[in-house]
Amino acid sequence: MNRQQQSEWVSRQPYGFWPELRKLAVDLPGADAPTRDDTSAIPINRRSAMGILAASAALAGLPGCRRPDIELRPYTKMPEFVVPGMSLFYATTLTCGGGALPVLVETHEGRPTKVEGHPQYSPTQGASDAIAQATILQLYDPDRLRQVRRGGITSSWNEFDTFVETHFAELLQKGGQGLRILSDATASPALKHLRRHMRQSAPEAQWHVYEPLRYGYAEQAARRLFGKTLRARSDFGKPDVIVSLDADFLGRADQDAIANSRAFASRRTPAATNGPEMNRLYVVEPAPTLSGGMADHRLRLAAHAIPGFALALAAELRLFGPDWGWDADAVRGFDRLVRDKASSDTTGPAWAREIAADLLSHRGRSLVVAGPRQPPLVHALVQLMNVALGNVSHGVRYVEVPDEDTGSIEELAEDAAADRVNTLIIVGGNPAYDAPADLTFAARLAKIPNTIRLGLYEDETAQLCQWRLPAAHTFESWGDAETDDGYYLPVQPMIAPLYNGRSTLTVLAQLLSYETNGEYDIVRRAFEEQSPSLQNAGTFDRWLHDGLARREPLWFVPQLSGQAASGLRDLLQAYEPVTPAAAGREICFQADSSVFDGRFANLGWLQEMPDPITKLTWDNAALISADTASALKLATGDVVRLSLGERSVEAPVLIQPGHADHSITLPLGYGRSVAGRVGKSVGFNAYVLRTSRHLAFAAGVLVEPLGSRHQFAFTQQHDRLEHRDLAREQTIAQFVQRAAQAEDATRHDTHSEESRLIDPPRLDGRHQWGMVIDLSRCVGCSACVVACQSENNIPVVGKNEVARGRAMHWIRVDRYYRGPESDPEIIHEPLACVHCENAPCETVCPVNAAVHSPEGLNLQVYNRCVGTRYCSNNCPYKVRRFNWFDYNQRPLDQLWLGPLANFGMAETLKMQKNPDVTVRMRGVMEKCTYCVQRIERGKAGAKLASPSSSDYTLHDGQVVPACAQACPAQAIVFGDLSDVTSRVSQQKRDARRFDLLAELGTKPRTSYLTRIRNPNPRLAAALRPFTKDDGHE
Amino acid sequence: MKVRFVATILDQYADRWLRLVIATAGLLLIATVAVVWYYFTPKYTRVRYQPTQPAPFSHELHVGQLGMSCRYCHTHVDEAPHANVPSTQTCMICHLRVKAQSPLLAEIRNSWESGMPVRWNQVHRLPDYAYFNHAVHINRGVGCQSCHGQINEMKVVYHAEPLSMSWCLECHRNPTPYLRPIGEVYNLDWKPEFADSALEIGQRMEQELKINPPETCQGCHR
Repeated sequence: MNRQQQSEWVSRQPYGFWPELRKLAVDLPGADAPTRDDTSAIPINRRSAMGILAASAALAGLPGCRRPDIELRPYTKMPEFVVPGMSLFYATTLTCGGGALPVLVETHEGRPTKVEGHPQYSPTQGASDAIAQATILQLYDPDRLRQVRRGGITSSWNEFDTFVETHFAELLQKGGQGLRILSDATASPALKHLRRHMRQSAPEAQWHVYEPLRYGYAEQAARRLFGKTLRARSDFGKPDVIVSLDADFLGRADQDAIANSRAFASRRTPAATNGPEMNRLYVVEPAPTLSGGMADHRLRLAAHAIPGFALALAAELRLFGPDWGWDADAVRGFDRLVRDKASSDTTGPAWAREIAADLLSHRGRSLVVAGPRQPPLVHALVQLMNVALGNVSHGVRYVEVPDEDTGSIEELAEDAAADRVNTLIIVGGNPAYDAPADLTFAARLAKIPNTIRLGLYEDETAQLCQWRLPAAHTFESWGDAETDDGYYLPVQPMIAPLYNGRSTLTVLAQLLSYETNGEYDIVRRAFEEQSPSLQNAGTFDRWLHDGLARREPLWFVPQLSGQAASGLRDLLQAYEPVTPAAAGREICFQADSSVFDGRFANLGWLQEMPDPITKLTWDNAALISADTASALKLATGDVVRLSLGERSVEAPVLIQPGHADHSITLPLGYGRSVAGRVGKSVGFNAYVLRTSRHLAFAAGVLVEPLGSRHQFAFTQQHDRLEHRDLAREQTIAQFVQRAAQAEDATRHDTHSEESRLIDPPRLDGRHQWGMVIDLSRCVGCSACVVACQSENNIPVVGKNEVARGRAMHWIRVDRYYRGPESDPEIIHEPLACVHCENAPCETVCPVNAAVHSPEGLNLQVYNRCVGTRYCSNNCPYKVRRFNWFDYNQRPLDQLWLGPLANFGMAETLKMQKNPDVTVRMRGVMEKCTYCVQRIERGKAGAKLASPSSSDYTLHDGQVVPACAQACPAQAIVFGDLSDVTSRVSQQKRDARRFDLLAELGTKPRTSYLTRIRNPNPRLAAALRPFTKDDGHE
Repeated sequence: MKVRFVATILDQYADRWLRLVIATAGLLLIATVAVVWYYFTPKYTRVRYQPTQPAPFSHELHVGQLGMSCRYCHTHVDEAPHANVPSTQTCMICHLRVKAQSPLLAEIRNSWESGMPVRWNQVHRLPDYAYFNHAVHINRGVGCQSCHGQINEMKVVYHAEPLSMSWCLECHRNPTPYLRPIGEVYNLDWKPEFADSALEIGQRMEQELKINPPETCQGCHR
């Protein structure tokens, strides 16, 4: 009754001003709630019964949401060698800019996933670089050209084949009149084979080669001096004294940078007993480069002043004096000529004098190198210096290379302007973007009646061509390559073309009516041609398996002859000194450390890889010195207009410590107008200012501030050590002195064990992993950064996120400046998680996601992580990386849209992922794992090979993390600390060892070796009075 | 006015409503926990999972009756992390002759002729962040049957064990009772000869092979 009354009452009176409450009461199933239609006293009524039914139905549905059904699709026919779940390596070769690098490509069930250097290739021995690593991303790039297009309309290979049949039959009948081929520089014997075929079947046709960063000045100089086309093969491991005149032999622009880094670094550690002594490097250059960073003495000099310095050095060496065996008549008057044109005004006489003295005291054990962009005069002088100093056959050897019967892009542009070109085939390269600006190549290209473009992307050049053909990637095609030092290397496919592409060989063979059964057949023929000259040439299959074969190259020993003297006389007389201070500021073009000449612009890994010196990502900038900046009243980020003649470009300025005054460095390769989604409109296009007369540098540029600002994304905000001892450095003299003292103070700065609050982790594993990074060896190239990214499925986050400090790289390379801003020393320090034994991150994780393994790894358990980021806040090294967004699933320009953004990853990009590493999602912390997947794989393999689980042997060097494997300088050593004979244990006992932030008591597993510099005491003494600020910190 | 206002909210039944809401919330919480406790674990979500396969392959026939070895089809199970699903070619080795016209094998023949893979449904699946290695278990005396159940009696394969992390750890913490002689790994019907000898066999195996399964996260998560 009471109930009825209530009901009555309730129905009369609404629930105060909460109508929802009433609704709630009505909807509650089975609740003792008064409802209007509640006529019965039984708790279960129609409504509640429905509710219970619905609930059971919902529960009954649970089995349906066990998991989505997932298909397994086994092979129809099992391919040979493939073991599902195990990786399979193929030997192939990467070619870029005329150079070649043999590599091994790791594949998983037919998917290439990772590039490694070829361990049997003696110049690099398993090392690689950032670009080689990023090639795998290029293969899977979803922005690659996917179909044949004709004038912007989708076409097909069939239509193209029909076109070729009619059009080319006619062309070849006329002997190839009007037929031109333009390719980038390739050292492919198979392609040369096709070129020879072209000479016969189409004698009127012409093959042009254009490589934007190949100047050919060194070859020109050699032709003048010795009458032969020579290429220098320098071995940086041999000389004791190296002088570089604007040559960044460690930087990416050098084809042999990996080999050079390896050889050079091998001599950067203080001498072991009976070992060779440490080398000494002098670098003279405008903008700081990797080589400049490694220099013991670096002279910053505008590019235009370097010939003057080379002459001053020649004068100090008395290069034309009686000591060197010149014919006195041949070099008469040279001394005066050299002295007249030499300039030492900007440098003070000490530099040339002391460098010359050092070279003279190391005859036969020294090396002088000149940068490829320096004029032939510098190369000629350098070649003569090396000959005179007896360095030939020791630090440097000269290879005679056959002259190519190819034309230049200038000739092609001229012919196109004169309507002499009917059909142009452009293979590789991107001339519409990177050809010298005065050729107006794009405009002339548009005039040619038939244009065919074979390329990976629909780029600036493809947009102007009628036929745009998708090229097969290196990993999808057959080919070959040879290096200057005699290696003959195969290019073999490991995946069928993803995007319907055809290889260069296939397309050219088709166009030139070359009788063949396909590209494989062409390569086989090329191999048959080459094999008689190869040492121990086995079968074709053997060559494919090994990935290399070698022949002795055609060495040439140049002499100081009358011919050399007369060749040099012409160069000397033609040389007119230009000083940027007088002629107006100069601009220097250089290859970008990330995108090279622009061809890698669409690769996110490279765009996001910080420049080794500036630490700039997703951009290029006009680099200027602090003095030049203050003279122009500019700050970093100010946008200026740079004008040279009638050409101009707008560029943001970046003040680069250590840059030469009156000089502006412009990295090439950016400002692509037609690239993929990644590379489009990133940075500015410096090619606009580059003319065929001034390919390397030009003086007289006008700088006009525009008043606007540009936002840069740097990965390092702080360039100074601020009195902290993070990246240690000593001169060799200091080191020897300290090593003589019994105890090194740095060893004792760990906390006392008693003051510990938290129990230390149990470190009772069979292995105790550790790492040592040698700062003396590290050149800062950042190969480790991209190798890690490739191995560990690290996402790209985009410029916006990098600017917020959210770059995801597990290993970063910190770059510090020491000394005055005008001319500092540079030190690189790679830093990944150091795997502290007393890890601050572990103690603050509320969910135990940061834990320690018995083998000493500081583990991050992704599935436990809830994203509090306490660990990162407590990490003194700042090496933890947080997934602020679902970088793997959302487009980078839509991150902030959250669930409204498009979801999912391109299918091809999924194929790139390393199946042995978890792909992390949003809200998860991650960091370096010491490549735990490689450790576990190594252990599993060793255990399987052994009859018991505890007695297995895991050799030192069997487990190598991706960074250490890629490192060209062998700066990173990883291994088992419980094995006292392992390399890492030995290095831990090195007198140079120090632990980063050891005073915090973190007991890091990664240690560092102090960087040692080897300055010339006499030059240092001579320079001291001139140094404004010693830069003592 | 003020007094009346308060009275409107907290009327004479307010206390009763409050109790009701709290009680219901409490009940719901308990129910939720109970449901999640049972239904959201692999014990419920995985065990007995038995998807329909495109071809009615019977392990019961091939293994149980014909006595074929596991490795005839799963060729790389003892050397690779994956126990590979056999290629169509493997089926056709026999079925080119045996039951060559059987309608049950239509899917296999289609695959063989067209070159397109047979689309089997995956039964046993670990999360993406867990890495299981078949070879190391097979070579250390963990039988197929321990994780996959009596495959030789299954006409259609189903998920026999939960394969949850706690289930894995049970054995990793104390592997002794689950070990068998290496020669018996593929023997799905293996039983110790005497009822109480499983532990002894395990102990012997553990000593011989120095079995030391990892309990650290690093062992399975990368």
